[in-house]
Amino acid sequence: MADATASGSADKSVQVKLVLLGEAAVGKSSVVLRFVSNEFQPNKEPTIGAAFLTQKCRLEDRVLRYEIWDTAGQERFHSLAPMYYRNAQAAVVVFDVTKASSLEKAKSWVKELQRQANPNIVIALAGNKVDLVQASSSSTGATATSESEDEADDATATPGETPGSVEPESLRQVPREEAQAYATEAGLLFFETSAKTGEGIVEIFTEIAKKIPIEHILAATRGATGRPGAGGSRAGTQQDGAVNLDGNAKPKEACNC
Amino acid sequence: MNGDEGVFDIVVVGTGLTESITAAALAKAGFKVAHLDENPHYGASEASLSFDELVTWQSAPRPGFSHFSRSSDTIPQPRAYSLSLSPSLIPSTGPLIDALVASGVSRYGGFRLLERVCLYHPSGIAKPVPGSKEDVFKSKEISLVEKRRLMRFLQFAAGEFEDKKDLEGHKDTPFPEYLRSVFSLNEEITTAIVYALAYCLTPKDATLPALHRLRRYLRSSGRYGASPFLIGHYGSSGEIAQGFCRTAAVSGGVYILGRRIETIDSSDQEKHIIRLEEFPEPISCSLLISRSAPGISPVPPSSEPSSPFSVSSPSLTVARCIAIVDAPILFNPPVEQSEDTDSPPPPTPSDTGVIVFPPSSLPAGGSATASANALIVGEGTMSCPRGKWLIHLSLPLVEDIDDADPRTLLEPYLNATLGLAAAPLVPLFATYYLQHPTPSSETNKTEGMKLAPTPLPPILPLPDAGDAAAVHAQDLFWAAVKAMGQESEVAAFWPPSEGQDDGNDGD
Ligand SMILES: Nc1nc2c(ncn2[C@@H]2O[C@H](COP(=O)(O)OP(=O)(O)O)[C@@H](O)[C@H]2O)c(=O)[nH]1
Ligand SMILES: [Mg+2]
Repeated sequence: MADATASGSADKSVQVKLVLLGEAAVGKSSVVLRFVSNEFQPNKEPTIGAAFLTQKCRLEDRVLRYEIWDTAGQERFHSLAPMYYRNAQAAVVVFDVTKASSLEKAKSWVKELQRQANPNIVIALAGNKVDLVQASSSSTGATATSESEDEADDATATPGETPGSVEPESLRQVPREEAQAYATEAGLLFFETSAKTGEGIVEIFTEIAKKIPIEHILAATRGATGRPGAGGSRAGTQQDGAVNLDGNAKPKEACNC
Repeated sequence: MNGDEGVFDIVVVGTGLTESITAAALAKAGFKVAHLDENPHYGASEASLSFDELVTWQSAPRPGFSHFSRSSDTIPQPRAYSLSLSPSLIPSTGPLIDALVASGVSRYGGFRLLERVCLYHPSGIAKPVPGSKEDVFKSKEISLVEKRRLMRFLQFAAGEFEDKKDLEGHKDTPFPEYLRSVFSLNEEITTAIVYALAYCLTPKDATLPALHRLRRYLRSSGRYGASPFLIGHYGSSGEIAQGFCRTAAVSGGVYILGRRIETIDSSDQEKHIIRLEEFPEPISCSLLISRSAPGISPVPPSSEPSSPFSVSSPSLTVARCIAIVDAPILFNPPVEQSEDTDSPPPPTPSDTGVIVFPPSSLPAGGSATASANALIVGEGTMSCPRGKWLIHLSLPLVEDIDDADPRTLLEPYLNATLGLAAAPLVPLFATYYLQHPTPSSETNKTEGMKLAPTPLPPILPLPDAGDAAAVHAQDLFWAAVKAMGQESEVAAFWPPSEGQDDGNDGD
């Protein structure tokens, strides 16, 4: 529930709403699926089919519970509702390293976030499909749009296990340095990722978790309402009055990380 | 778009609440749905807009709306506002709440209880309205005889009154007249019941629909708190529409907003071909659901006799005002709180409240033929920044006022509301407009499969719009399922167990 984000729950974990953004087909849904279920579905759009996915993220001193919102395709024709951005404390803006135009789109999504979202939002930039520009036996010659491996291979494939092989530079359209420079300038975290191999995925969510100002969120949302600065009751209001229509439906965990 | 990406089972035009609920249900039932809106925002006539969006929205002619005026084009923190174009309350039990829970959309939104309801008196005070039998019992203002009569009526209204003798021959009697003649209630109590409990729009409102509403409201109280009504965060209806649209998208619905429909070609009996402005490929569908395309006939309202929604209420034009203030309107606390004291406690601020203005309740300038409402919401509803309150005024226009000026009509009500603040209060901003009934589209030769949602009247009793939309959506859903020949495949409006699922229900 949007308005329940960033509130402490019984196990003292902090709930954080995280939204995904980026051009269609760069791998947003695949990144979530890798993070939440450690799965990858080649050649097809992963079915999220859920309002949002939840995943715990354990740091040394605290546990975060991500509530991850996928665009559900509403990014395709720029029809994301304001509801999507509301109360998001984190965003992963994804582009495809084999498609230069997708970085430009990512930049415009970052601008949109700065316009629409909470000013303290932690934004990470993900250069996805990095597996396609790392030579390995299975991806040599593969194009960005035609993946032919079966899932068993995907699950075990590990980047960097083929030392000495040459990057298929022809496929890379966004140099790492270029994206890194943009991210630094715009104040974003940056990782190259592969939803297919899992490279960089846990890292990106962990680094975001480290940057989330948890104490600040908890302090600001002591009331039941959840929007920083809007919780609590003023003098004169007799009780809080916030209502959860299905408060007894308790979400279950996806898996642990 | 290429291949069959532009081919849909169903295209829904407009993202009003009815259409959004319908789109979500159809997408969940497995149909391939595209949902279009020419506006750049969700919610159509029920949208909740940021301040800047409201200014932009008013800068062009809007079908169904007219006579825009506003005091300014800017305000600090414009994005912190969610201004509802046609605000309403949500009864705690009823078709909209059922749809929210069954579809899982309730997960997206927060809700608050309506804290206060007061009835405005010509003397310039707003008296709390007893909302339950307990309130009536505790009240010191009502004489014992009146209490007994009122209790008898409330018992009747909360029960199965349809075949009771007290109703015989009175279904169409104006409700105030009915209360006076059959239950011998005095003028003051009659006024409170008619306008502040049953939310009648005019003294002519018929008894049966008013009783149906009252029963639903009485039964709603206690589910989430003492108040029967909820208000959704961020402007309620508009945000709820977004939630249903997102649910449709999660089930595969495709969303295209802010593109004008250039042409709809239905000459091929099998499909409609829709061309959108600045859109490369046309999209096509078997079934088109739209309010406005020619040759479309509205889905007849469900003929169930007990369907207690205001589907048949006359469509009146409504004058609306949205004002922003930076001090709270004070409400007299509910009766129960005055239990132990002899003098009533002083009025207090409240985050949410309704002031009901019955006909002739203003000393000068108000309507003598219709009831106006002021819905007041504060930061707790997430629709304005801290320290600000929104006043939403609405007044149905009963007489044919040819060139009614919404500002002239509503300023007396705004001033009366502002007069309830602790110190003289000048609004930071005010806008006025009229909202008109949509002319019923004439049915001509039907080409292809088309359905039209039953339009919501511009004004309904304050707690009725959402439930009416949900009822219309359910009718429309089944009409669409039937048109698509899938009656035997689709078992329910919402797939069962969905409401119990958490977010991770993907495969
Ligand atoms: N090789 C490779 N393919 C990927 C990766 N991530 C996603 N894909 C593929 O790219 C396509 C689009 O992915 P999807 O997650 O649907 O993108 P979205 O539209 O941004 O959600 C699918 O066919 C995925 O299998 C990746 O890291 N590497
Ligand atoms: Mg996706």
